[in-house]
Amino acid sequence: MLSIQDLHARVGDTPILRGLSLEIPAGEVHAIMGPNGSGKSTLSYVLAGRDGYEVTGGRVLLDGEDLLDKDPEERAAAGVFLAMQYPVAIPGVSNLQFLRAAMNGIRKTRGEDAISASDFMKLARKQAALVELDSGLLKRAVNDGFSGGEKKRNEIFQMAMLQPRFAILDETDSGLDIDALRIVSAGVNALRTPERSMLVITHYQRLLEHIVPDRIHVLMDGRIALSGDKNLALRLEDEGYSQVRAAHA
Amino acid sequence: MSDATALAGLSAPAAASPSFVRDAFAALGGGLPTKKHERWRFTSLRALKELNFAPGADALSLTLPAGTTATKGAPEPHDAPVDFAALNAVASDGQTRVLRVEKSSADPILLTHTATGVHYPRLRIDVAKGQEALVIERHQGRGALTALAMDIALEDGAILRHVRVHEDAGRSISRVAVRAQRSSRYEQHAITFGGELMRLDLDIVLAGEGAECGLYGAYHGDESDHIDTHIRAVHRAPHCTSRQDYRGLVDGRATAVFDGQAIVERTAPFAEAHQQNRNLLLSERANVFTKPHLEIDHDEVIASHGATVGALDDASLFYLRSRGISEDVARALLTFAFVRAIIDGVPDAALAEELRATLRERIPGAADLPEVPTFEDAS
Repeated sequence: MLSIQDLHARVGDTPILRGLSLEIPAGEVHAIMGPNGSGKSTLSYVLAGRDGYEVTGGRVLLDGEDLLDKDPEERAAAGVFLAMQYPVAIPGVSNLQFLRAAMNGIRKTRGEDAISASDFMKLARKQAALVELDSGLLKRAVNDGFSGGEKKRNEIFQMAMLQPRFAILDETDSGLDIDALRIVSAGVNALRTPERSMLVITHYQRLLEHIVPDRIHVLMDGRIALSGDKNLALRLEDEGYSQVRAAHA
Repeated sequence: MSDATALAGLSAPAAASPSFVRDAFAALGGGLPTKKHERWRFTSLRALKELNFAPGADALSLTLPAGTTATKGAPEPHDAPVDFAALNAVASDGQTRVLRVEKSSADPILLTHTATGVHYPRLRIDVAKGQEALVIERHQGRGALTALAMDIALEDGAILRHVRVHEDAGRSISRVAVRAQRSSRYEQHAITFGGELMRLDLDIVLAGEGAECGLYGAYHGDESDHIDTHIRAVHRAPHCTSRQDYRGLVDGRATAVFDGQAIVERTAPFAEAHQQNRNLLLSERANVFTKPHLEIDHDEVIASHGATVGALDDASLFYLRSRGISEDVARALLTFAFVRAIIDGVPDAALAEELRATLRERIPGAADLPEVPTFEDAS
């Protein structure tokens, strides 16, 4: 479903991704691990289309359609969702207004009718319950004054509202305590379907005990150095990246 | 010789002719103030040079709630008036409308200015001990010049909430002077949507222990609008608090000026003073001059001040777009949100809603933003 082919990208003059290739079939959850600076967050931003991340080679196809020449909002309409590592706070824009604008934006791009206020609110109430997000937070400004855990739950709530084809979770576990990790993971697992694929970026094996991936890839120096099944995370936890790097070299 | 004394030497207001006014300014020290005057460094008055300063018909309508009385009198202003306030003192009919709030009311005092010509409204508002009032002041005429002078006196424990709305109001130069006694509170929300020449001089003296002021402004300038806010909040007694929070959108060739000063005198320990001015520049030709500053003669002070001038935040834009919101709508949402908090604070729900609607119409693309849904919609 998602096909990344020999992707090269740089930030400013610094090449970060150097020939990354990855296939994620429909319905699968793949994890990416890797040392700091290996390009994990760059990959997530390149896939979502953030300015300042320049693709210098390769292709990314979602269901055979080229993603890289689309604007971020067009990618969202095509079904891409990025749960951010550091969700920004947007004072003055309520969570509900923001999400309604998002759903209507996506529907408009797809040539569909806007969602009614009534249907929108019913859906919001249902999906907020999924990640135990208090309805008071829905009315507040986007992420404004939210705790770290509330921000991450809000990301998964947005994912549940927008129902993407392909979701990237960029260090969704960072800053979460045990309880929040359990809630967020349960929300993500509830969103696993045979049609939806996910790419989970993390530093820690702990998250992958909750969100069990089909495949794990190790990203080093801007390309995939090693792939394996879910047991690879345990090996990395034991041996560290340097062993893997040595074995790979 | 003070400015006021200089003017007192001139003839009666019946002579409020162009030459009279020229004489008045001459007595002030040489004609209309120019950019060489510190108070007018960033605001040109050249457009006034050819103006006939003779006052037009009275263009101020008043609606008063029960418990507020109106008389005409000539009470002493708090301070010696300068330039346009001094001009007002002479060119108005020499009489001041004196409103006195004897008893709180749930209804507002409505002041509506509808001048299209030259207008010198002159008011004093007194709020009696422990009473509360809401003043909604609207400038609806596209005036050639409105030079307003307003003196406000708050007795012990009084509260006055003052909302000023200028909507493409032509040229408006206002001086509002407030004297706040013990434990009283003055709050002002100044909402300015455009205007060829908008100038506010807001002078507050926190004269009694525990007096407070909360001064808030939201402005949107486009084309060649000029919006200038000068504030002086003087702490004269212990335990006083002053807050200034002004946010603006500056588009086209518009200019915004903010000079917000807080002065903590030796007699005013345990002061709290905050000044903030944030500007969103929406065009490369727009200008902002901002200077929040603080003078402290005392150590027992909690203070902060800051100013920003910038463009929309890239990270916020990306966040919205990554969720499927088009760039135009994302910009409109963020632009609207930038000043919205100030308008949300307007202490009259219906007026706040009207001002939000006006702001939406003024920001390209914001008119189509979705309303904020509520849980009632789901039932």
